[in-house]
Amino acid sequence: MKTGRFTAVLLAGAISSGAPAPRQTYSNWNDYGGSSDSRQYSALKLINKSNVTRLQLVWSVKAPGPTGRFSFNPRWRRPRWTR
Amino acid sequence: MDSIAAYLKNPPAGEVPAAAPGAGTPGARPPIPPPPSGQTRFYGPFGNVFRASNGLLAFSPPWSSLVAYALNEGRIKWRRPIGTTPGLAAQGIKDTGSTSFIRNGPAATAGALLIIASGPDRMVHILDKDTGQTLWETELKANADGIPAVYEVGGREYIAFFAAASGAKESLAYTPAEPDSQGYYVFSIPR
Repeated sequence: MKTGRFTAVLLAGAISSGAPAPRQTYSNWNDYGGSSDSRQYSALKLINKSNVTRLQLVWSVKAPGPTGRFSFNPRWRRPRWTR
Repeated sequence: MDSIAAYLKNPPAGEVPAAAPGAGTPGARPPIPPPPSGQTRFYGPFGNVFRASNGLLAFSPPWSSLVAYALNEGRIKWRRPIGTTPGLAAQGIKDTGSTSFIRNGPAATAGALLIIASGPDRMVHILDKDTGQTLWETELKANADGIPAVYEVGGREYIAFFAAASGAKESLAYTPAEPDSQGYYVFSIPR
């Protein structure tokens, strides 16, 4: 039983290391740090030096809860109706 | 068992002898020499820094800096203070950087921007990635925490910050959040 489980773990490791790495587009913020490599980089340039001074708060949402917690990094998720 | 019984009969005999200077156990720190005469040596708790009685750091600013490294050239490209000490900024001293616990990281974009918040003074900043100069900044109602998120929907780019209301008290170093302000703050360019 123990040996069987160990084999399964090894196999899963071999499959994941053999697959090609997914191509990163850095066009959205799908993971902590933006991408699966947490690069904290976005390939977007719609906001740039020419228009950055026109930035405005466009929406906000309250998230009340325990204070002093570590809140990490917001993540973007494609809306269900576009998937 | 015999060893334990022997130790309990005479604990001092079981003590490890004091290490001679220079020898000691592997990895042990060498003994610290006494301070020069006329000087007092102070010790602080682990992970903390010395603060003056007004709560500010007992050494010269900047107290928080953002540093850009040109890794291909092996040099510092630019360096600037990040955040302010609100009580000093009100007196016109704005180049100290944050002296409170700052827990914000930057996001870089292909638009040549570096986006970073400074929680203790409730500010968010957008910098020129090549020079570190501030291009735009604004104040939130709460203290931004963590890294911003940059995303696109329907041909518009958005920048999202989480900002916390920790309940920490106002001080020279810290502007507390407004009541009921904890949440997400999202910026974009109006159509």
